[in-house]
Amino acid sequence: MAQMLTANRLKDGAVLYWRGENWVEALAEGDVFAAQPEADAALAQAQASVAGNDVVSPYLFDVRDGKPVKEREIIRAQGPSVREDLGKQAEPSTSPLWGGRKSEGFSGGGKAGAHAPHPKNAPHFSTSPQGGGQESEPDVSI
Amino acid sequence: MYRYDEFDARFVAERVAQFRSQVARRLSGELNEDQFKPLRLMNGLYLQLHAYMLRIAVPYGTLDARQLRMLAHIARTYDKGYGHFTTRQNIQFNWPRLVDVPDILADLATVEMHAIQTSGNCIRNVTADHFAGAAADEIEDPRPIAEIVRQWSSLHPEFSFLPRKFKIAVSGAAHDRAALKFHDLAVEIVKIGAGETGYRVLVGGGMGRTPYIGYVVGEFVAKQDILACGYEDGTVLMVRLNDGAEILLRRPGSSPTTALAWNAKGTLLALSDEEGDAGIFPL
Repeated sequence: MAQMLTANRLKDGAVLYWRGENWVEALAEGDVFAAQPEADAALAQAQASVAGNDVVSPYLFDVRDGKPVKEREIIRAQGPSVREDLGKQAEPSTSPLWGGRKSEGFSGGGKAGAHAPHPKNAPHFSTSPQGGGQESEPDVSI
Repeated sequence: MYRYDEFDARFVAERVAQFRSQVARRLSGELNEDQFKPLRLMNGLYLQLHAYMLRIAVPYGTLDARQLRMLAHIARTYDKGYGHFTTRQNIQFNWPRLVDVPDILADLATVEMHAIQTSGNCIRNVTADHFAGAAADEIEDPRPIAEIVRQWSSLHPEFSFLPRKFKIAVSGAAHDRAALKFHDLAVEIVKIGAGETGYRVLVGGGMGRTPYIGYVVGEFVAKQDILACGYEDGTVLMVRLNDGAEILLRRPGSSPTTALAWNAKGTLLALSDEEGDAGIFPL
């Protein structure tokens, strides 16, 4: 399965995605890695920004047709599901390509944007762990 | 409501200064994330899905207007204009920037608030009935007990590094609004018939991934009737809490009392003073 690389920015915790040799705020602008070696290479390259105290705990996550597979990553990419007026979903510049969680008919390519994801979404089965580095408690609201 | 004394105020101010320095060292790279994470968690700062989250303690759910206004100020100034009150009566801000958190904690300290023990494997903030003091079905106000528990458990060295977080609730009403059975330890103020009030004690409850309903270990625990107190002028008193009756054990005029201790059964009281005098009183 295709993967993307994400982390949180140290100074404010913002969700970031890897593009080229740097981080961007919008998932739609991030690189999609079709093959494991290039995903691993990006993760290795991103360690420099951990050492440089720019980001915290980068990791790879699975995407299908440019959309995260796990709900956790959909929430990170969009913002809180209980406050759709907040977070990336409320900012046109960072709102995700697939049109938000209200969108029913996801067609695969997403709407046309300035930064389309890489077209190479060849299936690749990854066994790399998802998530991690999150100390949220099971019952985090209490 | 409890008001900080000089020691509380100084401690909280010192903690803010320490955290400010820790954040500065994290941002400069002197501390890495593995080193910094336990430090920020000790001050209620999580890194969650969208951003950092700061959980602020609201002891047994009691706020005064000055504190509420400060929370509103923090929401407007450093966050997105709102906060989230939690099931256990704390408040969380969901979008603070790491660089602002020392200032937020400094603002909180001006109204006697902090984020200590709101995260990590320690005894967490004590929960009480949110209608405490105003509920029609209340037998007794639970907040004095909640405050005693808060003072005892704050920064207690033996309970700061537990294998798991530990939560305590107190309620004084017939209707349970504090979710007692979902706490590790709960005290319910109960009345036998028309007369004596005491405590029902529950243990073992929990929320989270594997919720568990607590069970009763003491159906009726009588109130500890008698409190001994020693004074600087050498006076030692026993006070019966139910009715405030006092028994003078030692007159004023000797040297300051240095220690008081009960035996396990509560039948003997030992005392000592600064000049080395000591004695045992049978009750």
